[in-house]
Amino acid sequence: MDRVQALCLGVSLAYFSLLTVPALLTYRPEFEPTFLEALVNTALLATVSTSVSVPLGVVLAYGTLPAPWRLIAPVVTFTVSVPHTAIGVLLAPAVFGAGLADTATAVALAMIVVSTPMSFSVLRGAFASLGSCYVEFLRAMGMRGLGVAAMMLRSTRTALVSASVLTWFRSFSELGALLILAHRPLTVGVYVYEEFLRRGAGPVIGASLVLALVALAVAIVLERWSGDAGGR
Amino acid sequence: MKAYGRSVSVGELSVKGTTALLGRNGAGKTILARSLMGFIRPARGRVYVGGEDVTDLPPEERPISYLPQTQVALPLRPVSQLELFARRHGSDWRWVVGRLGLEGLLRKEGLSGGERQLLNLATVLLKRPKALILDEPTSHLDFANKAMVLEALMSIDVPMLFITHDPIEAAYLADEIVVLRDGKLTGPVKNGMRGWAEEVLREAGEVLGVH
Repeated sequence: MDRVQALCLGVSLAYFSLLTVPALLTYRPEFEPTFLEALVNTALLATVSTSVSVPLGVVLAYGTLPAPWRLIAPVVTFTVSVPHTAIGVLLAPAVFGAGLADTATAVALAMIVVSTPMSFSVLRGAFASLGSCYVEFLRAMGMRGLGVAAMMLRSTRTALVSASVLTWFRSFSELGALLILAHRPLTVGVYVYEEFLRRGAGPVIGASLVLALVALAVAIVLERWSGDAGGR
Repeated sequence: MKAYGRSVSVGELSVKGTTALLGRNGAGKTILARSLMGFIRPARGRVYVGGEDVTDLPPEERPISYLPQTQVALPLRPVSQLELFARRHGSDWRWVVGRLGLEGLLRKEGLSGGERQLLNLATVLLKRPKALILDEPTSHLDFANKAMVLEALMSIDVPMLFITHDPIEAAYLADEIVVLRDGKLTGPVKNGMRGWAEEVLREAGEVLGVH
């Protein structure tokens, strides 16, 4: 291990410790029964969101690869840079106008809007890494649109899996837009926020730690898997 | 034609047999290849293939096959790749494989750079093209792989524009050589250096133990 790697390890451990050690030293984890309900709701709706966001991300990533269409990419990704409460406010007229406030549809819609940039960015990067020669070879062989896209997807299947997992977690972790659009059905972000406001940090430390550890475990598996798939 | 802030002036380029397009890196060779294929629209002029004006046809419909500069690795086993494009173009992949002597590649996993390029060469021939454009197909290959690809190219009887920065390769393969320099095409000149190139490659092969 050289100095830079040691530094990376040190910073990573400090980062993780900051999130876990003071919390565990200060409070005893406990769990409310509504946490499980929130967990199930969020997992189900994040799955619905992912099943829309990933195909949408594929289409948008493929469609915005050629030079003149690249300028469309920021139209998809700008939501990453905006506080998601603002995204919720921007969605509110449509959601409230359709009578969808506090419904599963509103939750799914909010998740789709905030997670599509994730699938889009991962897949666009993967498609771009194949290079223009890849597309030109296929086009010169008579392939068009969907045929080319299907072949590119097969070539980037590792990225497709990564995009799906990351998109699912992005949906799962959404709070800002949900605070504006849908407090119910209960989702984990809203659960932690409401319980914290009602009873303070202690009662939601357990739930927060479970969420953090599950996400960490999946991220480690994903990192290892994508490394193996990439031959590293 | 113009692209990426550079312009290439062609005048007239006629490809029969094998024509080598020789030029230094950055001379505009790939711009020329891509515009012949229809990926870049030329500012002026027309592209004819077998007497047919294909200037307004998209790349997918041009009766030209193209092997780009960067090696393409499709996510398919060699046989599946050949079957896919043979089906698409109604051609016989076994005949092409036999013609290029690639039977050994078919069941291989993890192709070398040269083998990958040979597989792609076989693939582009499945289109039954009236002309071939090969953009530096050997530039990323070591000598052994390069020799393998050059030998396969010698067995192809489709009119071919072979783009290279290597005068030895040009002299080994080409019937005629054109040179792209400072954005201008000069030539063609008849290739009278094949014997010399064969000798150079033979001696290099002996030194490196490649035959």
